[in-house]
Amino acid sequence: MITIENLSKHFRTPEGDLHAVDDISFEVARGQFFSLVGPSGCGKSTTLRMIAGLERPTRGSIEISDRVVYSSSDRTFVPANKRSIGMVFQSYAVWPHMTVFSNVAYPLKVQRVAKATIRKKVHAALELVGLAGLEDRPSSRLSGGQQQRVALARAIVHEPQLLLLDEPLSNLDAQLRKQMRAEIKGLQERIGVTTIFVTHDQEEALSMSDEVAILDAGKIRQVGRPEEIYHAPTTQFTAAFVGNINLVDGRKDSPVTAGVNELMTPMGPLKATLATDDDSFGNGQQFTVGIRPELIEIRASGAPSTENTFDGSVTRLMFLGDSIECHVTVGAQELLVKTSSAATEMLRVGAEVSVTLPARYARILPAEDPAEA
Amino acid sequence: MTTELEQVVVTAESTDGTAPAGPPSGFVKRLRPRLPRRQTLWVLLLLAILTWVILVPVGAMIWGSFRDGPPGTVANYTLEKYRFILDSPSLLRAVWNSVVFGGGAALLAFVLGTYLAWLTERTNVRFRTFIYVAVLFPLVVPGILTATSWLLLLSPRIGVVNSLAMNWLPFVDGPVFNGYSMLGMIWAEGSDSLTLPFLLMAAAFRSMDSSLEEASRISGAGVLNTTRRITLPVMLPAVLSTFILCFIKAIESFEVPAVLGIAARIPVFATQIWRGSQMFPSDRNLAAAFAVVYLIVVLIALAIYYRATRVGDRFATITGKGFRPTRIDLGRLRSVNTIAAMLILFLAVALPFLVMVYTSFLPFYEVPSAEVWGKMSFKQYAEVLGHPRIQSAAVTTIVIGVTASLLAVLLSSVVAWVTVRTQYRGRRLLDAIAFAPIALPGIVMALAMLWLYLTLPNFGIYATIWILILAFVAKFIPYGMRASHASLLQLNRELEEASQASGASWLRTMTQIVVPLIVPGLFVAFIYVLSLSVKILSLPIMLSGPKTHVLSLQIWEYYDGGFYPALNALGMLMFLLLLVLTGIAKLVANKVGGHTFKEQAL
Repeated sequence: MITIENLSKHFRTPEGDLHAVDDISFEVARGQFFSLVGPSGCGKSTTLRMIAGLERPTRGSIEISDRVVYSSSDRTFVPANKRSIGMVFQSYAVWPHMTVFSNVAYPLKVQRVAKATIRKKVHAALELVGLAGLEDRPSSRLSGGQQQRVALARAIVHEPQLLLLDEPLSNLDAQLRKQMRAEIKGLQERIGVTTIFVTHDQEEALSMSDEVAILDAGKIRQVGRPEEIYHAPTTQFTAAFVGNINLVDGRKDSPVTAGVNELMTPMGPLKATLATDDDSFGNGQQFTVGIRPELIEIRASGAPSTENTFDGSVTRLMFLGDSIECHVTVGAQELLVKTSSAATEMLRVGAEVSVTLPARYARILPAEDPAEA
Repeated sequence: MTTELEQVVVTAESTDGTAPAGPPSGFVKRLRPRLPRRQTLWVLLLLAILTWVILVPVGAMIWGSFRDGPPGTVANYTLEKYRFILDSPSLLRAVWNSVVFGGGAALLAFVLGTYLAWLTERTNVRFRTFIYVAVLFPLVVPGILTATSWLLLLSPRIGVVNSLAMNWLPFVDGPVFNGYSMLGMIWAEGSDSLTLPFLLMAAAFRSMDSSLEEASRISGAGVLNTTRRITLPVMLPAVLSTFILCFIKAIESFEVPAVLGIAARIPVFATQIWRGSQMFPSDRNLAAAFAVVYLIVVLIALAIYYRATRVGDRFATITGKGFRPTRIDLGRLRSVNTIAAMLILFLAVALPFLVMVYTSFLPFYEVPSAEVWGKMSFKQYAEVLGHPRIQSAAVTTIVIGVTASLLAVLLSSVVAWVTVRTQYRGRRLLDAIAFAPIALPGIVMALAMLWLYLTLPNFGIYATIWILILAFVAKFIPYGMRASHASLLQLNRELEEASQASGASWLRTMTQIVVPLIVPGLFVAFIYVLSLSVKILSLPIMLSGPKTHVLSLQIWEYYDGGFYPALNALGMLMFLLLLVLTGIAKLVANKVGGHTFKEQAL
């Protein structure tokens, strides 16, 4: 339903050219909840604003529902107010001089909808966001969470074909944020609107989305379902950005093949899996092996030796309530291991332990991410 | 004193914070798609208007300083006028007097204002709210009235203070104070100018991190030591910039130098230029040359100011939520300081005002005594209100004031919009020109207008209300700019974008979202500029003709003739008018406060 092709946004600054968004392409299917995630400055907000029509791209094309709203080759540019979208801004942008009702009714008034219909739709929208009854409240007397809901109601009241959310939860405290996550997701499922969600919080993106795009320095690093992103990262950046990961330098003198390969690491020989035939690995010899902390098995020292098992000692422990994170030093390598907090007995600082890195979870990643900006 | 400067300059340099060619990060201006032709048209139009209103008259005056014939006549180029200045001991003395007067008045205003600001912001002195309100009082009293009040208080012959001292104190048989002196002038000007340094330093004190002082106290230093060694040095940039602003305000002053300085034979820039231009025999070329020298002095001061504020940014200690500056407990010294504050306020604010009130009820001026009470009446008020010339002056004042304020605020809001909200080329130049009149003392602005419109008689606006309106607009645009900047910066970009995303056209976004949100701020600016135009004397005294008589000029005429009771009756009426205007502005400002979010998760 949304097709983005070769979209770019360049700025000319005194220090040189800044590529805020650098040749990105992706698609969003109808009804999908799609997130753009990345660190500050990665270009996710700029991308969203270009889709909204609030920012003019330098190059590329944007298609919404089979309609080209931007094309550099055709010189097409449909302004923001003609794109039939709904948008929630980071500051909510609730107009302080209007009531809740007037705020939410605004898009309908613009479309010259009949008064009775407006009333019905505004009521329905406010019900959906849980603000029924607050129609006549002046919006300057709303709390942060309430403003957010008003912004949401305003964005969906006119049944747009696309809903855009620009870091709408960033300014809420942790509790409210968790609550709103569930509510937004529930709302989206109920009305089925295609949604693009921008956030810097990877946990948020993973928990809410059907598909996630990881951005870094204006480029897309990986697009996929949350499970794919988490368990099958294709670059070091993606692996490190989402959750925690252990990165181990590995070396193989012969070419790597799909499936299990044995690499030489600072810990010793390690069997790791290459999940793809992708040629981007080329004929290199240096690689990085990534494994999630919670997938490493840890036992007291002296357990029978199995594949990918190493001896090490605990150098640091952190009790997190539901789990324990420990730093284990294996030779010259330090590993982060996460395990259930029921295993406290054997874990002490200085304890000798045995760690196993199951080969199927140890993924081979390129040694360096392509084209570091 | 006439508030020719107030807080305008404080935000002038905020325009430097505008983003460069636009990488998005946090608060940044977004690119608004515009056809190149429309952009340039707008910028050129605004540039043309501002240049004509502000720069061209000044240019005409500078040109006139190099000519040897009055404006509008055939003449030759010459450097004679500048040579004359350099050879003239009295003119050079006027330069020196201006600097001494400006520096002295600024020092006095700064010291007293800072002391009061420190008391109200950083200590537990009593009656803080009262002090705050009292310090703002001079804003509603035209400067000419305060100046004549000091004359009535400190004149060696008729001054109240001197007479009372001579009558009641046995060891005094001559006048104690002589208002007609440099010290008298400095006192009159400085004591009336507390508002500006108070407001600026109060803001600076409020934003200082008190843990710096607490560290000093823990190390054993007492209140005075801490203030002297820690507080003030850290606030040095704020101190310097505030002092410079006070200096600029004082050196631009006309009323006190006219009322006290002329009789004292202490000429300063403003009075010399006025006399050179309006008194017979007039030499407007010489006046123009002297005005150029005047301008240079002010510009030097402004340059120092801008340097100081840029340095200040490095020292800025920003208080976040956790750093509310704590108040010093004065302990036993609390009463002493409270009394000191009350004394300052009494002498600076109450005393001249009381004289004003007192005199307005007398048939003719005399020193207070027991018999005087029986002579008091409203007679002066009745005469003033019933006088046709004053009635027409009142109408003219309002007409000129309202027109000029409307134009100034409208023009400055459009310029501010272009500066703050667009990426048009040339907007920095626009901004600079719009703020330029800060450097123009009223007398110089007026002289420049004279030069331009007498040289171009086809524009026949000399001696009409239009030359006054134009002069007012030029002088007060910076105030409109400041208010517009503040309003626009408060208007989050996303409020407009939400309207666009909701499908609204540009016009609808303007009329339904932008205008309703900034109009209240602009209305307050309008009222403020209107108040300034009622009070100002330096422009009408040069540009008014028989058909364009205004109230401040009427006050001057009363002064000139020595009709003090009538002067003060009219003054009280003007004071009441200004009070009403301020009240309206406050009401609107408070109502607007309800439009910003009280609870913010942001």
